[in-house]
Amino acid sequence: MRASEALDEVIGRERGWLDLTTMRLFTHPGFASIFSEFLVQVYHEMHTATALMEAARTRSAALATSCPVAARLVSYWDEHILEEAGHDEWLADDMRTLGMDVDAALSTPPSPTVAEIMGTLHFWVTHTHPVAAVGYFYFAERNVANVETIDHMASAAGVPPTALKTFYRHASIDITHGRELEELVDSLPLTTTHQDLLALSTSTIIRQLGRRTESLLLRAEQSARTDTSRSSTS
Amino acid sequence: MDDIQYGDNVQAFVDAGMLSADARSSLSADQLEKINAWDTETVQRLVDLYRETGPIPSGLWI
Repeated sequence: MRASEALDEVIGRERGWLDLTTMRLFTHPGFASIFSEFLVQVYHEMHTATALMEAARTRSAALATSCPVAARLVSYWDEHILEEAGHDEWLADDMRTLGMDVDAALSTPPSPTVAEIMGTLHFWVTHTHPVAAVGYFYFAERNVANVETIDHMASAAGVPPTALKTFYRHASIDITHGRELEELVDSLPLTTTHQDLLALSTSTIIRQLGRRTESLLLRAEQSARTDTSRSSTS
Repeated sequence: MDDIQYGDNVQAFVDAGMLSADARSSLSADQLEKINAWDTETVQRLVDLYRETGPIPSGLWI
């Protein structure tokens, strides 16, 4: 079995709750009222992903002389850091288009769920092996929103599609990135230890992503209840 | 023999192709309870969106 097939098995097993809470969030009546909060969380994940890749690149370079997997990853991180550069600024521009006060929105600390995801990845990169971060990007870039989903998201959030340029751009570019990640995973001379770490990090991150999405869903439910309560008392 | 009762909502997602048998087996008791507490209209909305838009975009965050 190819390494990417083994990783796909892990993802297929773990993704159920994340998938259903994602769909529930996008169809929830309270989604529009928490859309700004949703975008802020996406911004923090995009922004921190760059810092994660830089940490992974540094660690890969440090291990490169003794580990062929780390040596191969150095060039991957170099390329991917460039590919992802500025994407958080695209989203900040979209947020400005929507009339958000971006400086104020981004001055608040990222949520604990975002910190949990990125903190876990940083821990593994720093204290085990940088291949631990590959599973996160493999999953994220191979499960991007397509144009139809983003059209729905804009409609559900009550925002113009022109304000979601970041998501529309990713709908096309991440298809290429996803293919590159599959080729990367299959080209790495992974030992059993690497494979086990990759499976562990990927399954853990998908569960954490599910908890992050569930917390947003709870916020949407709270918001919808508040709106209902207000309309019944007015 | 698989004699676990997953509930009607979970089965609806499996039937719609949104949830694989492996993914279903990995859901916790708490998650199963939450999914099965969703009303019929909610479940139908999710299934309709899936049929309209295709693969679930759980990785759209970076």
